[in-house]
Amino acid sequence: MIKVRNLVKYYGQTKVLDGISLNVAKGERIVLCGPSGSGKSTLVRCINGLEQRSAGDIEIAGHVLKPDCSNVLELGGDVGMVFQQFNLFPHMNVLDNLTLAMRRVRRTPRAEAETQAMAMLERMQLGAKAKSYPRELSGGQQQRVAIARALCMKPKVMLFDEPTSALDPEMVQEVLDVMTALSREGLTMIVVTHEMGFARNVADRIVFMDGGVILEEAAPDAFFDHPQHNRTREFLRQIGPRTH
Amino acid sequence: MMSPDIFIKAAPVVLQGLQLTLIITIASFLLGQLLALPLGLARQASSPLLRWPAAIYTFLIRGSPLLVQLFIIYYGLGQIPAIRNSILWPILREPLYCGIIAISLNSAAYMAEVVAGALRRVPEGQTEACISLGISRRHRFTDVLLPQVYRELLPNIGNEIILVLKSSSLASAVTIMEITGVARAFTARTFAPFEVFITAGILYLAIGFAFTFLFRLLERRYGITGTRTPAPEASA
Repeated sequence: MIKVRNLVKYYGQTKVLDGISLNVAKGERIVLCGPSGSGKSTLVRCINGLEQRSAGDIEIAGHVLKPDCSNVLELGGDVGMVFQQFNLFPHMNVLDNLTLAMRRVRRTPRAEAETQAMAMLERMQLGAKAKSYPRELSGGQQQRVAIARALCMKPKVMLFDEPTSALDPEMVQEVLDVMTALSREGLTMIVVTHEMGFARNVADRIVFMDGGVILEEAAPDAFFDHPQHNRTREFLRQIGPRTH
Repeated sequence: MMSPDIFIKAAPVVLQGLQLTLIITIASFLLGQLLALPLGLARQASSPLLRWPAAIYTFLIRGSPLLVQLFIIYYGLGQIPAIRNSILWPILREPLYCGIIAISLNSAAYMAEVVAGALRRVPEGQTEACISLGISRRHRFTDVLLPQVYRELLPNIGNEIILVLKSSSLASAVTIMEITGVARAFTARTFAPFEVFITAGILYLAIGFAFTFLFRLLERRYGITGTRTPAPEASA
């Protein structure tokens, strides 16, 4: 579903990704973790074409992403993205946030788009908020709307870039619950997160990045119980209390 | 001494200019807004071929007095035979149209900078959300960026129409009998400039107040979703 080969990314003189190769099978759930500045957000942003890469090949959801990302819109909808800052459209109510891309990109007629969007909102227990504006919602609700918006496009892959990092602690769980439910439906997912409890429960594979390279990848139990690398052990010690 | 009966005489005279003042103000304002959008987009464009002409335009217009521009358009352009023979001549011959053109070109230059600034302030995440949903460049502008820009700019736009209203008084310099024009003519007959111009001033204030009120209503109706206000802590 995703093939990344020898991905290199520079910001000016700084090499932020140094030859990343990563294959993700259909239905596989990957958690990407590592210290801040390790390049994990940059990696997912390169994978869906929000950042141009300096070198390497990317294939995702049946699309070969050009190096200059000029065909990035082909990915649109097939690759859903959830941002740390939600990035909802503030001038539209929740329902319009969900239906805009369905109508403009998928050319779904308005009535049908709204029916589908309402069903999606009900699933997220947000049915009552359809006519609310983003600023009237809590952070957790906004992030669930953002997830619903991406899902309405029926994506083949969902990317999550630190989806709970901007949330107040008491709202983290409601978003993680939604993501856990999604993971049970066979959707291919890459999640950048520091929520190690979620990683242990949900991930098929945990990918640990540091300094722009993948240091270690393993199934959750092996990753948490027998980390191979010194940097991994150090990272897990620092982040430790969150594991349970 | 000010005399009350001159006020009473001045009021209907000054009101005769009201219609032209409103025509000039509204036409210049609308034309200015229309031109400001492509100019503002050009100011923000990545291509220097778009950016530079727009920058030069705003520099020239904002850097010189409106009255001088009005004289150039009304008196100056008529000197050029090519213009007198062109299809534009029926328009450029009319002082009213010249006034509207000069004021709208001016308003457009100021608004273009404001539009460009507002476009810069829309968070990058909005564009990224659109890209990740596959929304095309065109719909990104029409459905996401511009609605946010214009909601944010409603107070600036309300301010701009007041500025245009005040600029419209300069049209009297090219013989247009709008409020200031009729006031000047009436003063020449009555030698009571104080009463007449105070009446004119009050009328400008009243029109300005009406526009301000109108834009307050628009802001209340459409400005609700203040794009940059942080989310309040609503309970689930």
